[in-house]
Amino acid sequence: MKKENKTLIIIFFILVCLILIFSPGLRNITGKFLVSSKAVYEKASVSISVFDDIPPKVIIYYPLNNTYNYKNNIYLYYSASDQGSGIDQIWYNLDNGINISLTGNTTFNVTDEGSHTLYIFANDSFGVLNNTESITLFINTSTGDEVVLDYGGTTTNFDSLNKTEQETISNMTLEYINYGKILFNEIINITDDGKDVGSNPRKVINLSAYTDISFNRILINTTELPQLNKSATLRLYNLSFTNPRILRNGLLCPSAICTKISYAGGALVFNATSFSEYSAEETPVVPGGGGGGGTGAVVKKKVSSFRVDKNLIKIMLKQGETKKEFLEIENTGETELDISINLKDLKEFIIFPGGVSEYSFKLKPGEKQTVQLIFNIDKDQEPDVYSGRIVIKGDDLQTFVTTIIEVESEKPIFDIEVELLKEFKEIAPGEELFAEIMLYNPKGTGLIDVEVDYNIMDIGGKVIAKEHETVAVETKTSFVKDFTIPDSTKAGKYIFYAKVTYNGLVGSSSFLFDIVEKPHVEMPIQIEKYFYVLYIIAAIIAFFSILMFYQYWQLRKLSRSVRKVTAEDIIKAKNKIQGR
Amino acid sequence: MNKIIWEIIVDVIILVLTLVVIWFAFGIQQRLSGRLATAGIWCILAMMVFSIHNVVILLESSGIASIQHLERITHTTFIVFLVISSWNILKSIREVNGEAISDHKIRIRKSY
Repeated sequence: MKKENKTLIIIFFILVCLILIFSPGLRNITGKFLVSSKAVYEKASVSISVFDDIPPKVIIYYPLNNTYNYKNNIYLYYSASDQGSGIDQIWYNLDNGINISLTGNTTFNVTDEGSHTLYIFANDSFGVLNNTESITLFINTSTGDEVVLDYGGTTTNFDSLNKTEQETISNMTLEYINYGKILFNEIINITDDGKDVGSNPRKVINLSAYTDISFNRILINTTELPQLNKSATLRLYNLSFTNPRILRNGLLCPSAICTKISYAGGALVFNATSFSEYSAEETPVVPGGGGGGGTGAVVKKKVSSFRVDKNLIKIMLKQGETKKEFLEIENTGETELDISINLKDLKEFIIFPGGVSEYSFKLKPGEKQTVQLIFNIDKDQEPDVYSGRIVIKGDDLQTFVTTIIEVESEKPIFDIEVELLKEFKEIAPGEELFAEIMLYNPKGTGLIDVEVDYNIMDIGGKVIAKEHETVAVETKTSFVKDFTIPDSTKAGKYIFYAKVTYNGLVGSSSFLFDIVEKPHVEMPIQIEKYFYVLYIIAAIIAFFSILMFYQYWQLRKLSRSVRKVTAEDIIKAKNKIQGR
Repeated sequence: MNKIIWEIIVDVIILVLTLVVIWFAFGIQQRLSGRLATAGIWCILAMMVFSIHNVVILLESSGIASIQHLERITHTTFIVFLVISSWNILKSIREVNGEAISDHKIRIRKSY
């Protein structure tokens, strides 16, 4: 074999080896070493150094790369972890300004409107720094409040409205193209329906949570969105009735409130003077009696229904304390109802006047009755949170009043307050819940370690997540805790309960929140990345570059003895062949 | 083996063959002078651009980068370079073959 060919083969094998070495699949090679040794007389000392070269992991949860319409008290939620040597320091700066140390979630202010970049840095005990985490937020105080909604069609584009425009929206429309539409006939000031998010000046108008346009149903929760309790033209699409009639809260809508405009092609159009839940049903028809076989007469169906003024009772009692609560029950139907109230699992804590645990009475249509509930906590009752449902039955109808009873020690030394950041009021399984915890020691008896327990439980008392920690408090401290809701958690109402214990004395606080179904997100098809192709390309190009260089080098050597072929040479060769 | 892997394999083979062509073209070009050498240089440049084009396609099919605009640029440049190279060869052959100049035909005899 020629010398050059041998060289080429060697180069080729070197390149193949390089490809294999750098191939990602072959990077993690594990092996076992068997070491055997004989005992020796001399002592030996062995020192092992473990070096952590992986930077800490930092995640910025909030703020996001979004526009915000406020400059002060912007929440900063983050997490930092290091699996090697542990976190040493965390700090942040705004627009490469002054570095500020971080010990937990905090708030920050920006001075100017416009774009700002927030950088978070973390280093571990080996000094390995993560300096790659940043977000860019945009401050524009004239931007309107955030409107959360999931409607389409001719729905008003709230994103394009500034704060002033949000205060005077004419022809405000919400539409779900398959199911229905609301067109408000009055000017709407939607900013008044905004809810504060934590202690931020930011407001969120959650139309998605408090309105519903679904098949044969239009609902606006006017308790949460009072500004939308205005007259409007409503449309219910794709109905299959022959002659529909309008229902308000399941009952026939009075003509003073609802005016039917038209019904054609499955679309029912009607005006309503105020809001509640609207739907439609077929107008009942019975065959006409007697001779002549008439077209039939409309028979008014008697409807049974009742209303309870509360659906949640949350009460805090100390050991040995007694408190009263009242429930007002109104018969909103057209028939007399036998109402019965059952305390179920709460018999231990609640009684009716007279000491009974079940109470019944009759209610005529339009009548109201106020029922007194006596919450009585025994002196020996363990401080904790107790929850359950009061069941109210009226003939075939049934409703519940969710009841949460927080029991504290008679004289707790420490007080605790918990607040759910409203932005996270509805959480899907797998997401994080952020709660602001405030601990107070009114007596201020120096720095004291207190035990704090956190529990997330359903209304039935089943705990889905819990945590315990020791916190040092002097007079007052506040911090934000985050909890991950387990993926398997079912949708429903849940209680976040925190209690502070010191010397056996317990102070507690809780809040109720909703866990909602995990939104189905259509994930884009994940394109698999074959990074090893890069190595292959590099290797091929390198291989051919070497070949070319080798060839060039060979030609340079040849050029000393051989001259290059020109067009004249070809002419000469041609003439020679032609015998000229 | 999935479709993407097949695409990658085919693209790699094309890349290798393109580089082989460059290698040969370089060898030929180095042995020529005058207009023929110029034609060779343009041919090599065209093949180099074509190999870049192949690399772009490979990056695309392996999901590493999506640079479709570059794909069009390389494709166009390759054709332009190839046209220049062919034009140089044509000119050179016209110099060699007087007949070709008179009747505007290129005739290359097998005996050559």
